[in-house]
Amino acid sequence: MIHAWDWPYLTADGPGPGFFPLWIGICITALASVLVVLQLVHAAGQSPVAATKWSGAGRVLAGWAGLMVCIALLEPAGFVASFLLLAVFLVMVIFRRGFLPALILGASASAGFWVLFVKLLKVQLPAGPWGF
Amino acid sequence: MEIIANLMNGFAVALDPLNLVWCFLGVFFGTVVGILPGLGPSATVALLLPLAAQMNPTGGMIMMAGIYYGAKYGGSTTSILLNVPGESASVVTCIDGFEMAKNGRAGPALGIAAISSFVAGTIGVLLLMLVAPPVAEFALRFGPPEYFALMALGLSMVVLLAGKSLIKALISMFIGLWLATIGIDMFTDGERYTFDTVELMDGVNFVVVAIGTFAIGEVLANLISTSGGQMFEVPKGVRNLMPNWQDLKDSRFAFVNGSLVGFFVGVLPGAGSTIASFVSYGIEKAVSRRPEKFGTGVVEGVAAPEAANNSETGGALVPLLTLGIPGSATTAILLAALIMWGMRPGPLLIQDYPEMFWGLVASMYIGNVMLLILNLPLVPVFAQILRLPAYVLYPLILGVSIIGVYSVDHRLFDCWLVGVFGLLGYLMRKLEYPAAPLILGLVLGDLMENAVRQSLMMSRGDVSILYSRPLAAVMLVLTVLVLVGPMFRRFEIWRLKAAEQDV
Amino acid sequence: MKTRRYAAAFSAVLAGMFLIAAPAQAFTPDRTIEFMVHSGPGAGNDVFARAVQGLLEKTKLAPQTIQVVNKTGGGGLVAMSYLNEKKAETHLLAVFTSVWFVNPQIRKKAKVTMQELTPLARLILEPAVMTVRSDSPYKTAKEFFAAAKANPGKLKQSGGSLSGRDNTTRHLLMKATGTEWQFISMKSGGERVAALLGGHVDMYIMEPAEAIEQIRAGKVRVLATLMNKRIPSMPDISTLREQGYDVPEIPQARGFVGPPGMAADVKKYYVDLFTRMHGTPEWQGFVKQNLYEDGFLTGQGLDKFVDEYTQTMRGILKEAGIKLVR
Repeated sequence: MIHAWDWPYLTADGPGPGFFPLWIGICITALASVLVVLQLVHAAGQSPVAATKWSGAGRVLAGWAGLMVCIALLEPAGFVASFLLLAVFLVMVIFRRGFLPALILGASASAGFWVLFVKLLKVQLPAGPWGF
Repeated sequence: MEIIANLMNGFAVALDPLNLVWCFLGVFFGTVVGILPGLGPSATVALLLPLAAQMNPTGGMIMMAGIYYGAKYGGSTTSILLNVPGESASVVTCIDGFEMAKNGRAGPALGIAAISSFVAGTIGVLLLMLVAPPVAEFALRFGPPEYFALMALGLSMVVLLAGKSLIKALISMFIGLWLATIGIDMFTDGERYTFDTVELMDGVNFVVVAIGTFAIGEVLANLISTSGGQMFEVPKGVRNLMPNWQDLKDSRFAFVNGSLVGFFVGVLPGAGSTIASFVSYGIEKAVSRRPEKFGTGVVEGVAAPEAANNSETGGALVPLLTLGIPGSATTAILLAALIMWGMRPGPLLIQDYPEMFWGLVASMYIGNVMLLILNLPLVPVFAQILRLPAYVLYPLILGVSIIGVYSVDHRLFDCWLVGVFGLLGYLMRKLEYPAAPLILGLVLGDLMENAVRQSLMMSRGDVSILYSRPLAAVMLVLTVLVLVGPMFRRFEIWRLKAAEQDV
Repeated sequence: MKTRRYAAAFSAVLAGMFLIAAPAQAFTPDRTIEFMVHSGPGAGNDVFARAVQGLLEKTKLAPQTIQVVNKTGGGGLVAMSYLNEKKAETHLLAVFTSVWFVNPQIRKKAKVTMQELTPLARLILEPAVMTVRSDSPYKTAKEFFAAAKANPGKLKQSGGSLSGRDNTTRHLLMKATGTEWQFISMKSGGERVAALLGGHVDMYIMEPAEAIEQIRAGKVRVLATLMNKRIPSMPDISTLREQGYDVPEIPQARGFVGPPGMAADVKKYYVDLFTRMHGTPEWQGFVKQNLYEDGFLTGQGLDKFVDEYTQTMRGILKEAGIKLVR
């Protein structure tokens, strides 16, 4: 929205590039304020607003971090290796299963993906230094 | 009568054993690429272009069209089972399809998707055969102002997609609209919100946002529990894996609504099946006797968008075959193929090459039957996927998502983006912001901004162009009705309550 | 059976002798050759690359399989930077279009110019014609310009992006005739033609292959050819120059370019490959079917074209009021 001020709002022949972003920004801000006001009104009138429960958010964040690490590894290590790591991480750390099922799942899933997408469908997934 | 004679000739061509083989190969490959997210019909058809150029035109056209409509069939599979839209047009299918799967009705959802695809695909071909020239002429009357009105009508569907809070839905939609402004501005060649990265210059890919907010958001939201057991009930027995009569009865109107909307939107160049599926879903909800159930897994919420998505193919072939104008990436490749075969695509194509046209039409009837036969038996098989425990399924969904996103443009950047949108999707879920309006805003935002600015350039800034043309005016009135309708209903409820209190 | 084995042995020996005799010229592709295009499937470049791929495979000129790779993004910048990073790579070529000349001049993030890459061959030139709807009041280019003069800014033309050919041509025409009309950007080619046929705009610049069919169906009328010479398939349509307007032609050029620092023998191999392809009847048929102009050019002629074209585009962009960055 701040950017939008820099772009010409109107040109000789109608709206310029800044027209839409500006209005979208205004609308979001307006709606957000309405929401806040409504919440406050609600809070004032005794009905307690059901607070969002954030328990378990740590685990979600951990899962998300795992995903991001996997994406970071895609180019240096290739899809198969990084997905294997992600699968093992999810199964062991997030779902608290043993190492063996995690490894079996990770290995078979990444191998399956590789055969299906790379070999059969010729999708060019990032490959690691060892060729897959 | 002439049509029947032509069609008979067409069937003679299409039933040629070799052409039948091409047709089967086309719909088979189409189904496969449709099921796999990220791989779309346009990429596949392009891949086969050099091969098709060496085939005879009719066979080649039959095969390539088969891929095109076959992919539409398969697109719903991962939407329903994994909340991963298989291709762009199946985002809407996720909304009720995945909810049905959660309720243990994955089988009926997949079944109804296949059946409505069949019905709509057939209606689409029927319309292509019967009304192509007049409809193409009608579509030409759509200029930028009419497109604007159509987009406004599409955006008004947000009212119908909203869950508990309309304001949250609107915020979600506006964020989508904002995302749509990212990239190079077509009218000035300037960059907007690209943060000086090359990757954002073409804007944010809608598949990335859809997979992020739907699939990854869903997975993250479910990581809360450690149980990792089976997520959904999967009833035993084939009978529970197929739609029953009640489902079919509930979907009756959705078949017709989706088919018509899909076909007409398909005829418009540049509009696309995603819009068609959103609009038909909205209409379905608006006329439904149980609108409050939409979003919780109703069968017509799957039938309508799937029907729209499939009859769109018939529609998209109309401008290509009757005017020589490609309306989408896939039809542009078909156009190139026609030229490679030495044909001259243009308004006289059907007249010049009746054998190709009628053979194609006939093959599409046959292809739709093949697809139904191919897809229905797969329903119980696919439904079994959901028997997998969560700790197996969730990593698989993430893997499919990464592959799907990467294979769109082969860019690592999109994978980063999908991660970011995954987190956004999770937060939206937690804070009860619906994700569908965001996608709606993203898809329509670009088209709507373009249409407004094109219109105002045409009129040199005179705003009246947006509502003074009859077609545009009609659609804008419809938009207002959609927007005001629910408010009126709410007002009624409030009035009734007030009246009760008075008593 | 036997003869075949002898033949194989003989050719192996021959190949061995050749290797010893001329090690410096030994480059032949030993794995899949990639054709990179900067647009998605279905766009003009993509279709062109796949057509070339199909022809090379059909005529068996290419010793290895060819794969078309779509590197979209940044209006061509992603593909250009990618090629730039793959210095001296021997199995990667890209399709160039006028965007490859324009981008380095208007985008700060463009890291490489056409001169720094290895242009291999220019293959085709796409001519263009000025069209109006068949019920339009304008019968000649002169009438159109007169109307534009009488109502400045009232007439409309549909087209693509501002740095594309449609708009640059418009600026050249406006300057040459001292007139002014509107340019309406539209995303896809389909929308642009539909806007003309639906009467939402007054003029559109079309490719001949498309125009000829629309003329045959009585949907559009061609006002003039925008090239210096008449187009063989439309002998009745006069050029702008013949109608008295001195406007330079801007054809869309397509061809192949290699990464920077391509070794001499590798470059020679690909130039030879395209030269041989150009000589096949299949290629001539392809050019004719699409009503392209045969723009075959390699070597010094191509280098000269690259320099000149860059300068021409520079002048036009300046004229069109588009900000140049270098």
